[in-house]
Amino acid sequence: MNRLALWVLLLLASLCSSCVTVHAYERGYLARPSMDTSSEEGESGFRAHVHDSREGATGGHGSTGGGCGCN
Amino acid sequence: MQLRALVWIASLAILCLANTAQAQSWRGHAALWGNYYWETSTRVVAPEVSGGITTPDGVDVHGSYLLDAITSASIASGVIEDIRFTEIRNQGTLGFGREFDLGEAQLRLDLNGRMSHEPDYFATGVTMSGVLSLAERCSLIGFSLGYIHDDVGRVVRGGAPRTDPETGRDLSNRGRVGELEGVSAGISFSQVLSEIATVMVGYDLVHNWGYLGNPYRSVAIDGVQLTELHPGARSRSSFYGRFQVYSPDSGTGFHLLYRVYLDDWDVGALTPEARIYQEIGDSVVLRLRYRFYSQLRSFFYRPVDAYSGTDAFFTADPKMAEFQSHLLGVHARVALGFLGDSPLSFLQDGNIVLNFDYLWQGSRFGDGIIAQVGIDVPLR
Repeated sequence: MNRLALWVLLLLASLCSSCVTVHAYERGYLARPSMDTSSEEGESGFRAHVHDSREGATGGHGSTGGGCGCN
Repeated sequence: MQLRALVWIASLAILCLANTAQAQSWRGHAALWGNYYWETSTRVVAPEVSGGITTPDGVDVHGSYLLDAITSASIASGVIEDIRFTEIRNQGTLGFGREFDLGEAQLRLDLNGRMSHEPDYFATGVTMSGVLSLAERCSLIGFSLGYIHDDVGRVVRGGAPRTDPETGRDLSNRGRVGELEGVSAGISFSQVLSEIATVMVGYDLVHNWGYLGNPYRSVAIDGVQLTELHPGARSRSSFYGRFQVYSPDSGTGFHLLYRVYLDDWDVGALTPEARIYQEIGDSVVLRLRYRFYSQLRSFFYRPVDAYSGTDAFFTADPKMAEFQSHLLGVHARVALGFLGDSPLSFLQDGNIVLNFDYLWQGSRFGDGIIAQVGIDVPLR
């Protein structure tokens, strides 16, 4: 557990130290439909609910536990 | 009391968020979804409507309503009878958000509330979240805090008598069996790596306490059928990440996702996932994805016939067992610009989405199918 947290912190630190600024006018590819995942929010809620009710794990999508009687 | 608190919080959010004017016009969006889930013992049909508006002041207000019709055999009732029953769940959400310009940075704050009601379960929750954008929005630091409160009840299911044979009294509602509460905290970091690549990592912590079992699941111990008994608290940690890269020559996006999950019931899980997005012209995006899920069993899980009177906790929950599952999904997103010259031209800026996932579940639930169709339309 502690080792995993250390790896995550190291990854975060390495990302911050290598931060680059890609200007808005250079981010056309990142706005393409296959890179902009904001359009998937409508479908992901129900799918996350299915996974939460069928798997012991949760997280990564803002879940707080509970929510319905399908636990 | 909880409803009143939510209304107060929502009112305060509106007052806080609507203070600074920005010259913009009204914008909005609306979406309609049909969701379906199938597995051997369960069918779920869940239509959902959602929408949102952004005021000229830059305040986002959004909400949704979901109707969940769950038809299930008695797997959650103890696997004694093969009798189907249907429950209806109503869920509504309401949220507010606004972005504040801090000069070199931007801060977006959101407040969301949720209520869900079904005959034997009433759930409420509120989440506050924020995103700090730095370096021309190349670096995003996100955070969230949440709280839930659920009332867990029990009603008659399956073939059990619904009225007292002597008095005729209605026995359908057997009352509240407990409360479930939870707090959550999350933090995430997203970084644009180049003109074609981004990465995101995050951590979620959830702590639940109260009634954490299911009153319909039971275990036979020494010949006596007892409602499952889980520990009264659970702390859950998730580390997750996502890497995306785009190939401009082929119009292909490659996404790799990973999640590591640990909790103090000794359930640990790994969830890697790969997605490939292929753009076809300017109107169609196809997506193929594969998700693998592997988990360890909780410390109190045993086969249902292996418990004894000395066990402090016992469960009939398939989610507490060790198992693996695989998901293969296809998805298509089609822009509706071709409707421009038709009577449906008011939909021409929208998209229609088709989604189909097949789940090979190694748990007692068995294989499953998730199917979704949705349409979203911007409003101007």
